Amino acid sequence: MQAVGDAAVTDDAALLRAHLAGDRNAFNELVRRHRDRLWAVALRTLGDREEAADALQDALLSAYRSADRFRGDAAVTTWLHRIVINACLDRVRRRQARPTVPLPDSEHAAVAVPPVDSDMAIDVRTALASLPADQRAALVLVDVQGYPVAEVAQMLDVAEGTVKSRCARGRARLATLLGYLRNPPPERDVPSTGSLGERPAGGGV
Amino acid sequence: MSTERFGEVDLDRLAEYADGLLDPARAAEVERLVATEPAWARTLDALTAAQPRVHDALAELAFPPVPDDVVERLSAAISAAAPGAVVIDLAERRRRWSRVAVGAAAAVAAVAVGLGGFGLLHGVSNSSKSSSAPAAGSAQYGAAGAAGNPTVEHSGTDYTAQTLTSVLGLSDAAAGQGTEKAPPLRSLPNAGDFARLDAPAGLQACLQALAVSHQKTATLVDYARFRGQPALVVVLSGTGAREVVVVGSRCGLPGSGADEIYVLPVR
Repeated sequence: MQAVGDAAVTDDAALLRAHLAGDRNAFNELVRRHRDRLWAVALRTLGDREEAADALQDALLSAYRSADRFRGDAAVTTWLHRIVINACLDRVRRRQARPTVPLPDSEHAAVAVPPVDSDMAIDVRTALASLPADQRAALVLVDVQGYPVAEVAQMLDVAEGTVKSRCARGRARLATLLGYLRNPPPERDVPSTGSLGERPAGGGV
Repeated sequence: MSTERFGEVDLDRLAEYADGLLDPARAAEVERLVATEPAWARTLDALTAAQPRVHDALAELAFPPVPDDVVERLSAAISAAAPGAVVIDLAERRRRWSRVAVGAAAAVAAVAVGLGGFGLLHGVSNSSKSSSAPAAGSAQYGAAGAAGNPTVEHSGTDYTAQTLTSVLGLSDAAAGQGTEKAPPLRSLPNAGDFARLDAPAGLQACLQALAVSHQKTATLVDYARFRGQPALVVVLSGTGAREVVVVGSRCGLPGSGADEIYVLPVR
């Protein structure tokens, strides 16, 4: 096994093995390679630099310590992303549990769409931050980072159809928030608040 | 689950329909609504037209630079997570060669947490117990395996080529002709790298490498410094003269051999 300091190219899996074997530089090298993308995921999911830094640090330390549990059934980078996105979603849900700012609750309550015309459109960061956490995570990974749906499904530990559904809904919601859809048509037969629409095939939110 | 409505239109359902995610029955239902309800038709058109704009807006969020303070913070956190980052209890230290030890350097080496110091070598360290002054000679040392079962010290002494003989409690009169093994502009080792050597497995690999290259076994090991940098000082005994060998943090790593820095024969 090559030591990290050697000039030879070392793939991610070899770095992780080196880390487990006690190589002090291996994990740092792994972080150096993927730090930019993992930071982007944390920052875009949480929308706040301090929170993102906290979440990323927690996630990387967790990965550092649980490296022996990596089963090799996915790419190392997928595994790292999963740990990071989970750390972020934990924080979002904790925030939602005791909100200082009312956030959309993805579980209950119909969400009324504010009448938005392009004058009132908000910027994409704000719009993204206001999406339900699951939709936000899916869009960050698929549309912002550009990862394939299959890989994102592994990162989020859900079915591919669920990823696609969350992306479709999230994009539509963004389209309204960003003012890309015209004003909604007048409502007719508005359902009472709290009623749930039928679930489409392909899973949940 | 929330239902996103756009006026009378079920936007969630429409979005999934537009992406081909609905099963045939539900897709047919939406098709019927699109065909019969102008609001649905208009919204579907608008949604389709909006897709590229949403995609572009999201793509703009890619590649935020990592702030420098975050880079440092992550690096520090990972370094601190490594095993060996223990605080050394100074009271347990034995200062054996205080007349040559650079006191400040030893104290600093002892107190540093993680990055700058050496952890106590669990189970192997016997520096405070059985070994008295080793100057009495080699009978002191136990029978060695191929790599040696040496006495282990953590003196933190900052040795020079001239003071190396003091690891054996000898004056520099005992020194032979030393040999520089590393190029003068050796890159500075990261003190944290010595945690590997501080563990039994790492130390054994290093001593094996030394046994191979010198055909001698280690009788004393001192985690210390050499010319200001962290180093491992190893006393090798066997056929012929003893040798004091200074090695760096890569000692025992595959491809690095014993990572020798300086070799001093001792009379």
